[in-house]
This record gives sequence, structure tokens and C-alpha cells, in this order.
Amino acid sequence: MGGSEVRLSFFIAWMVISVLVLGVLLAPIILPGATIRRLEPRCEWKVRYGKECPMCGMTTSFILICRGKFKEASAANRASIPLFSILVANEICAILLLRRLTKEGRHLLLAQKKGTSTETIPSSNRQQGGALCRS
Amino acid sequence: MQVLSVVWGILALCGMFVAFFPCLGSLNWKNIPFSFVGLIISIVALVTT
Repeated sequence: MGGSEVRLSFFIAWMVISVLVLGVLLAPIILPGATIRRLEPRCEWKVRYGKECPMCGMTTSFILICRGKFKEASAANRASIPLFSILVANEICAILLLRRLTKEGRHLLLAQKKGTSTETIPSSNRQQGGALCRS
Repeated sequence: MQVLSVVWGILALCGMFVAFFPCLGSLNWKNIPFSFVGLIISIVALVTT
């Protein structure tokens, strides 16, 4: 198993995680708050010891962030806004990279159809596209 | 098949790290069967290649 295949595996894993994260980010927009609260598991720490854990209030704050209530979200859980920002940044990076790779893949396919050599395609593009095409 | 098994392993590792967080430990109940499926896929990939 070559290095390009390992890189491809990491890329696919990142994309799968990004799709799951996208679901987490879109759920408060699509589903009503009561449905999300019914679906979420109860905090074991709170049930057993009656104390809040560091992640307690995260669902509430994500719902509040999606409705633009940032102050209330920060009050529910302080780490929610930085975590939400990191997740959004990850989604933006994933979408931009995926767009770039699909564009390069399309260029490679067109070049193959026309019968032109891959020498006309910039070397950086050839490497990226090649790594993804070799599955 | 090899790529699929590596992807499966990476996802199982990510699940394991998430399950290290307090209160998210119950994720292991889902992660262990998931990893077991990955193990089977890896064995199949190893045997067939």
C-alpha cells in the first residue's frame, strides 16, 4: 500500500467526518429544538452526580447560535462559539478542497477524452488528481 | 478494499478519541461493533490481495 493510497484514505475519512459535522451543523436549522432535545442522550455525569460536565449545554447553545442568539449561547456553554467556528471552518475547507479537486479531475478527464498528453496540465494538478483517481 | 479498511480504521480511531470525552463514553457501545466490522473488512482485504 503506497503513500498516495494512505493519503487518499485520510482524505476519504476527513470527507466522511465533514459530512457528519455538516449534519450536526444543519440539524438545529432543519429540525425543531424540541425534536433535537428528545434525540440527544442524557448526560451520565449529571444523572449520577448532579453536576454539569464541560459539554453540558452544548446542544442548547448550538440551537441558539443557529438562531443568532450568541449571548445566550455563550451563557449556555462558553466553549460553544469557538467549537462552532472550528466546525464551520472545517466545512469551508472541505468544500473548497472538494471543489478544487473536482475541477482538476474534470480537466484530467477532458484531457484524456481529447487524447492530449497530461504534460499540458500543470504538475501540481496532475499529482492531486492522480492521487484521487487511483482508487 | 485496502483503502476501505484504512478509512474504516481511521473513522474507528476518531470515534475512540471522541469517546474519551467525559459523558461521551457510551459511544464505545457503537464504536466497538463498528471496529469489529472494520477488522473483518481488513482481514478480507489482506486475504484477497
